[in-house]
Amino acid sequence: MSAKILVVDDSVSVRQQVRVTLEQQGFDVVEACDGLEGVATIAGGNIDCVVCDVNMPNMNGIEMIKKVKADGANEALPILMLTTEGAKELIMQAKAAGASGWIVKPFKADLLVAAVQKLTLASV
Amino acid sequence: MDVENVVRELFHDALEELLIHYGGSEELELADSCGKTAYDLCAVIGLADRDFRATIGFDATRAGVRALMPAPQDDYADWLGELSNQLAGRFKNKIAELGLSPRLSTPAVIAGTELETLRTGSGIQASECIVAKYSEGEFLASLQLELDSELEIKRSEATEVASEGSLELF
Repeated sequence: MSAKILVVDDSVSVRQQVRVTLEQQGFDVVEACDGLEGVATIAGGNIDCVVCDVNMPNMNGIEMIKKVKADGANEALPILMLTTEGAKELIMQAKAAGASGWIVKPFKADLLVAAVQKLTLASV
Repeated sequence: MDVENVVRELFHDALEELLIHYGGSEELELADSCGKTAYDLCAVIGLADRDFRATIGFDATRAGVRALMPAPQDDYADWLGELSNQLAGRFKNKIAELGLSPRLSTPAVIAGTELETLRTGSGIQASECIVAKYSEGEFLASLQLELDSELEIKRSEATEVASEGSLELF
């Protein structure tokens, strides 16, 4: 069974780019347009890894991580941030909240795939 | 050192790098201009801190947006919004070296025909306007700055920044 990846980004263009990149490698991909929808999708279960933007309306990526990780059932869920933000302080905030990694946009397809492959294997 | 001039130069660099990244081998012509030209899409995104505020305008023809798409898609407004997000993000990462760390807003995009965004006059003064032309399309990137008169460059307070495209697994 293919790993199911949730892509959370307010840009439909970015969600599409990530979807195409990951589906080409055999992953199943579902989408959410902001942190609120991301929380709801994760609560529905069966998500193996999350790729998430930081700056989004309604609920940003770091707020989403905190909400998701507050549920002990998501302790092992890998969450990879994909964002234009590069400040180390922000990266540390995300790490402290429970993020598993950070990619600065624009992303390189091979790095994104390698990261998701590593994170989904590690969480098995 | 004049803060505004340094910041304007970094904006210019951020724009050029972004357009080269997505434009690939497309020949790019950059010109400093604030003349009125009609565009199809206008994106606006802001950066704000206590003593530094910037508004970035990123206007484009549909052909220009299409020329910078990594893969064909129908939502031109969304892609311009993401391009403006990446432009602002690059700019923000560059000014971090000056000790500046404003918060970044989410972009807003207007789509229409013959759009002419007000750049000058009525108290609105763009600090920097750059017209970028490809063979197939055109962009107008503008930067409006509001800097506190006491603002200084403090490289000693520079924020360490991860490089574009980099991956860090914790």
